[in-house]
Amino acid sequence: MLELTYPQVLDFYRAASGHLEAAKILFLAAPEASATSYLNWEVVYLSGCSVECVLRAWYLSGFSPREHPRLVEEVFKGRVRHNLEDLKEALAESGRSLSPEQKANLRHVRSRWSVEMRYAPRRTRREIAERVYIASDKLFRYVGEVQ
Amino acid sequence: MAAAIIEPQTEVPKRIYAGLRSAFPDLDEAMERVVYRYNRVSIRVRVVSERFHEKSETERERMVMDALKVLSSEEIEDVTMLLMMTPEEARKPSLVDLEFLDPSRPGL
Repeated sequence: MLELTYPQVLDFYRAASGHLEAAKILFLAAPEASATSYLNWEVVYLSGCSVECVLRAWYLSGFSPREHPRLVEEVFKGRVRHNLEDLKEALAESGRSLSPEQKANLRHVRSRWSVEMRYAPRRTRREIAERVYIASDKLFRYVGEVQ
Repeated sequence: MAAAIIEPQTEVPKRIYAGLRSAFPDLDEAMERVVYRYNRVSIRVRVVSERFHEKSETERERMVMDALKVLSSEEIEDVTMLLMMTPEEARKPSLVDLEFLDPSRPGL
């Protein structure tokens, strides 16, 4: 379980939850069927941000709060930055590994998400937005429940 | 001992490439443009093929996974980036595609 009594963990978890909720609202507002839309691009962006935040919460959850400022600087702002693959490696090094199903969900997100996409809007198919949103939602729930 | 650790790091991408090559004859002949290990827990795969024409994302993934059935599920678990596109789509690369092609590319 996430240590939500740790302030930094709670902040990342709340941020993940907020991004995911916003993604859901935009997804419901976007055109139906196979239409492409900038709203779908926003759904992908926010869903990816949610995954990044919840994985960061999981990572910090394994360390004493006294170490969090150093880890944020060295790991998140240093070697990992916004790369989900580097974050996955940092998690593995700290003894945490996603289940096979969640690794597939991470792949669905990573294959479409880059933090840099915030500067490069593209019309995106609804199928893509739905796939990334669902994968992000499953990852969020998994990290919230994993022991 | 060292060889036992290093082997999966290099062998799995080779096996992935071989599996894809048999299913996608028009695959790039340069393995590093199709699959490489990004880090100890991540492998990146990029398949550009005419076979994806008019196929949905789900159908494309099924085609790729069918091609990789020769690998164990554990070997495929490390695939964290799977890009699937037609040659026409590849001419307009996404940001993630650019990251694949140039892993050292600086961020914006």
